[in-house]
Amino acid sequence: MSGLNRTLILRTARTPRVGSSCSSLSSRSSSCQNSGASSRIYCACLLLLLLTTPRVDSSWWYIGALGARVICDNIPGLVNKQRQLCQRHPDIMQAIGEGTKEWIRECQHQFRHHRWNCSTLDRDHTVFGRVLLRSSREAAFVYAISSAGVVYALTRACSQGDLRTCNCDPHKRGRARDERGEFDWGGCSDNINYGIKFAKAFIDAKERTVRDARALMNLHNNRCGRTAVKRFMKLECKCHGVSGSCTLRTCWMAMSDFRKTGDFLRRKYNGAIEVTMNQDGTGFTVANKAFRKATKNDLVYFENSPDYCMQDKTVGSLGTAGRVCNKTSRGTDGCEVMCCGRGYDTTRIKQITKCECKFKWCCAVECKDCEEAVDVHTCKAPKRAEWLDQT
Amino acid sequence: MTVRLSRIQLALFFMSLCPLNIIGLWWAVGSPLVMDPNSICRKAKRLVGKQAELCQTQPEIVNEVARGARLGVRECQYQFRYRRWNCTSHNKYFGKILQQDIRETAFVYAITAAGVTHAVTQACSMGELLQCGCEATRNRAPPRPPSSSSPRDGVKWEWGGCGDDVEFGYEKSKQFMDARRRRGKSDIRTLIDLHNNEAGRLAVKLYMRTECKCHGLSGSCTLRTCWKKMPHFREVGDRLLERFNGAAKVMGSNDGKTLIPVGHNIKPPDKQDLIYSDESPDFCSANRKTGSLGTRGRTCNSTAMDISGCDLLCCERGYWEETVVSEENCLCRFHWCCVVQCKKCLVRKELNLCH
Repeated sequence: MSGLNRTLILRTARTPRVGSSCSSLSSRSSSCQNSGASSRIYCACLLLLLLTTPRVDSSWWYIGALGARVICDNIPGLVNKQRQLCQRHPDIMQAIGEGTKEWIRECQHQFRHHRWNCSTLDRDHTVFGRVLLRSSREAAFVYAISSAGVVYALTRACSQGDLRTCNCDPHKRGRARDERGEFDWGGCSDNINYGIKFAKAFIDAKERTVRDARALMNLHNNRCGRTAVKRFMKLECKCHGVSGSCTLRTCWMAMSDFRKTGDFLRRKYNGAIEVTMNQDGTGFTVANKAFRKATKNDLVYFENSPDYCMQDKTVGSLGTAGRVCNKTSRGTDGCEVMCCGRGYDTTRIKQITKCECKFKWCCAVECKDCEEAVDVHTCKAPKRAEWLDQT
Repeated sequence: MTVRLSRIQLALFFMSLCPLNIIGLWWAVGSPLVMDPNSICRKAKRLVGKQAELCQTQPEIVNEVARGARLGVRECQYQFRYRRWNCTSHNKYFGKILQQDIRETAFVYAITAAGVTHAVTQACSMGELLQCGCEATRNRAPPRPPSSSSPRDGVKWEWGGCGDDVEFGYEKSKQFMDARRRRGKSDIRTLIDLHNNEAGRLAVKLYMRTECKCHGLSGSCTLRTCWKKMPHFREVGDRLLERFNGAAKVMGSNDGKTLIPVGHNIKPPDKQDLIYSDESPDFCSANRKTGSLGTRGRTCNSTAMDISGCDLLCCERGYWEETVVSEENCLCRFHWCCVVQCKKCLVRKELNLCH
């Protein structure tokens, strides 16, 4: 049906052209007469078709029936295996989609004081732009935290019962003991192994199609991210013995807050190891013999990062012009490091905060508005063309 | 005939060397090549008004002024030692930098004004100048209770000792460096220079510290004598470097007499801030027109992340490592009496130099 629509549109586009060419050529009157006759035939055919074909509603309702197939086919960059998994488990894809916002937010939180602050581009299907094309530390961190984010989102969706194919962990049953005594497994233990298995199958599918250094690096960092979430699983218990004592306990395994994973991966980012690929292409060796070997828990990279100071479209860095810096800090968010020696502008803004809050009986809290002038320091832009300053 | 021509040629050559603005000639005063004050005043024959008067009547003050300028330039070289432009004044490109109205020039003017203030005041306190001495006691405000100690006991203290007469240094620095104002010039460059000079002087004058000496019963602090001292010049340099980082770009307003900051919502610079009006040139590569020397061969710090780090200082050209072996004094011992004998050690230093 859509094919018919398309041919109709083509036909209507073609007829005005025939008419205009006829009007411009005044000398060839005989051909004009012939084309006039053919245009009449065309119009007649059109009318016939319009009368006989049934009306086609452009029905977006059909998406509901098509569902995941449309979405999965329209995401660029998925390999076959990923597309199959996408079509087979649309609910998992939805959970992953929601989890993506969360790990991007965590990445931006961890890097808020750095020159590259994990910023995303709005209309770019690669989300982060050309920054991740270089196999730098930042790429290692982003790949690790994305895998960790997927595992976290999946496991949480499993525990909440949003997914058809997984539930709470079925292996945690019966009695067990830890250093404080015996306990019963109960509650809903997070089924992290399912999350890790699916994340491995889905995310690593792309890296397994090619066999180059970047793919190996991505696989290593993905695994590091997945195990980072598992590392922070903890045993939560509820005491319900005699008058609330801990003689009887019910415990379950729960994941910690994603912030812990983010902090752990940030520490790994700080200690990331520069590697080069082996001669036979199977593994990594450390680039500088003086440093220690890369373990399973370390992030690896093999290209140096750019300095992200200036805006450079080829590298994908946005520069640090306009970033807010801290005048008193000596770290990477201090004005000396963030602004790369360009200096900063100071603007004074009026901040209205609530102060002198009093509790009034009963039961409201009344606060006054205090105005205070706060200095905000933003990095200066590098030297631009002279004519831009006149505006 | 030929001799006269050559003399005329020489005269023309020397006249063309002298920069047209006085501040440029002012740099001959602080140059390490000119150590003798008499020759300063001879070279400064084109100085007008107050400067010439000072040269004739108070040559020893001019000596201190020269020392202060050298102190300022040394501090500038220390503060900028890790930046791309490192304040080297030993070459002819220094003048080119000073002709541009950039942030670095603002810092140089401010630190020189501060250096002159500091040196003249210190000479006063050390008794080297006849025109001034310690701070006059009657001009000082009555002693107020020190905020740090508790008011529990009758801790008496009074002004005494030899306080630094920073007002004198301030006035002399103003007389020598701000002579342009007398000529009635009020273009943007002059206004900016005057503002930066004042910022430098205020960095010394407004941060005086109080030093006290306890001399009560057996050295206790029941009786204290306090006096005001200037801050260490390194502190002044650090403070001005902070102001340099936050320097504000300004442009002339419509009435031609005031300066307004460029940009939306920028806080107007106060008296202690540094201001400038042109963007700095690219100091990465050598350029004779802008006076930049480039960063080739500079020592960089391979672990730092700020401008002194090898990525930024070498402008992403990379660096190489060099081991420098030098002889230093070590294992020094004092022999009675009164000689210090040191051995010579070979010290290896790893340096990172930019390409």
